[in-house]
Amino acid sequence: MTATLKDMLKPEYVYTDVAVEPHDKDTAIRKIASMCAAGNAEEEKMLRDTFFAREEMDSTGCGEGVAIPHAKIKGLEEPKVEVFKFAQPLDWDAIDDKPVTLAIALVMPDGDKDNLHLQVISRLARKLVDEDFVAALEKQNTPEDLYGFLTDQLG
Amino acid sequence: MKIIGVTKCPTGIAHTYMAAEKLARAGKELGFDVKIETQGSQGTENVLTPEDVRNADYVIIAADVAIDDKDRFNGKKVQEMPIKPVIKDAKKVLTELPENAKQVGGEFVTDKELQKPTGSAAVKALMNGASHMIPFVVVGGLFIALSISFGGTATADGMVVSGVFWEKMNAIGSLGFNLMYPILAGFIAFSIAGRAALAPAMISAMVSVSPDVLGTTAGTGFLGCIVCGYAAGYFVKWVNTWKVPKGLKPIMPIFVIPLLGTGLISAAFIMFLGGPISWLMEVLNSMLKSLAANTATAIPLGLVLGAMIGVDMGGPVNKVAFLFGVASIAEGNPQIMGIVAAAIPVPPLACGLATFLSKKHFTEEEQGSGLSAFLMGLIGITEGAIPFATADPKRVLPSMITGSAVAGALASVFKITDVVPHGGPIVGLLGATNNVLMFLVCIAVGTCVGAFMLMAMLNSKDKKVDAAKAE
Repeated sequence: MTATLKDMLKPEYVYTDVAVEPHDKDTAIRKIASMCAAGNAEEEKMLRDTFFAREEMDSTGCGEGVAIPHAKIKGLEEPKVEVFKFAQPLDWDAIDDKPVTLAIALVMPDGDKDNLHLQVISRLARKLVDEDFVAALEKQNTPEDLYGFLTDQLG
Repeated sequence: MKIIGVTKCPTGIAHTYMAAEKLARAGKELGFDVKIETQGSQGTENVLTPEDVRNADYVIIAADVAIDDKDRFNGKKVQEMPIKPVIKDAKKVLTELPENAKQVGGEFVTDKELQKPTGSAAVKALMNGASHMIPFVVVGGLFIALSISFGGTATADGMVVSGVFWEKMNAIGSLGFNLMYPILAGFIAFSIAGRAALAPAMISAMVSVSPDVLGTTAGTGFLGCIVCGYAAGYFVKWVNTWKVPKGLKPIMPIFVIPLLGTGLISAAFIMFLGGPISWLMEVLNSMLKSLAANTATAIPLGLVLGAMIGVDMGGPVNKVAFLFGVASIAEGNPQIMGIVAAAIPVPPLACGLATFLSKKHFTEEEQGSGLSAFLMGLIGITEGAIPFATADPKRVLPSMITGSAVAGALASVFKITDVVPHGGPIVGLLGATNNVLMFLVCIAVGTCVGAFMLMAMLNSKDKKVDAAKAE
């Protein structure tokens, strides 16, 4: 039994042309937390706090315009991956100082013994250091293309 | 240049793996041999072995939190750093490693590990099986040996034990002796996968040594039991990785796994090994027939028969040679039994002799079983060498096969005959051979060849370990 990215990434979790005003990381993370929580105020606050806590340790902007804000949430039932392509490049304080155009948010249950999903995430993480993969990822402009590309590449 | 490393980030979700991948890719581009262990939230993967650590020129620890088992890098040149610079520019980190890495003090832990003969988990499992088997071989073998020495008479049916006391002792010994097979397989499997693997391994081992169940004229001997042990161990280990509903979990180790494991492994032995073993025995038998038909091939015949005795010590190959010898007595050509009888005691005698002459190469346990092996050898119980062959097959088997072959060839040259279907010095002393003195000489020479070859191989192994340590 193996998990696939499709278990966590649904077509409706992919957003393009996400407008962030002003163009900074703080606002972007608030927006991502709100969109991931989908109206659940309690979850939104928890996500926001955990994302910020992780960014404080170190920026998740991992270079070449991609950021992977991530959070482990206690009591969460299903892991989720959501993808945001921004309308304008944002300053994310990324390791290569390049502005970020794409955020892949990873929301994982904390204390989950089932590590099948984490295996998918670790594969995704390994892919993100592959320049060819990242270049191709950035070329995907519609939610359908992004979803298709990611699920195709990661099964 | 060989570089090893560990990556670990606070959440263990992404950066651990990104950093590992970056280092691996950068290493490939730069032509370095790089192996990175990831300590993430899915556990530790791509684990560095003691060999990896020993062979590494540099160690890189890229972590934002403390890593596990850092002291295994004591004595190495280590650079510790946060994850970020690695993801940013892994090539730079690797090329600058020789300047930045610092020698870490402390004792080099992995070197101690290396001195232990037990290396991988597979070897440890084998040693575990062998050490649990030894008491059974000793008790069973000595009871049989004593009862034959004091209560046995040489007859056309082999050594027949008479007298109530000696009969019972022989029967008890046989029970104990036959237990060594399931114990060997069981404890190999136990070492790999724990309690649930015991039943499948032990029952399948009984199947593999029971010709009736197997549908052959001989069981697989101890070699088949080793296969059983590994098969059951790794099978159960694999089943344990299955995701099963919570309600089923408690009955897995006591019900599902033993049933499934025993059924599958036993069935596999019957279906896939029964046929080949019968075929092998037939082929060997016709080969022996053609060798025996020609008097010019007396020495090859002796070599082949002797070697066959030493190959599996009670398994099918041994059995073909033994039965071929037994048949020759009935055909009035007891010279073939003479060859077999000279080869039979060589493996246990040679293993025993090696433990007397070269104590440092054997554990205390093995030294103890060396004496009983020697006694079993005198009585013609080849199986006495099985614990040695199990613990170190790569060295013991070739030496024992060579020793047995030499004894067989000499017996063939001196035209030794034996009219009792049994082997070892005892049949000579009981007057079943035509030339006791030469019979004993054949055995002694074969034994010395086997023992000295084994000691030479053990010495060269020591030299290799020393050389590795001196590096």
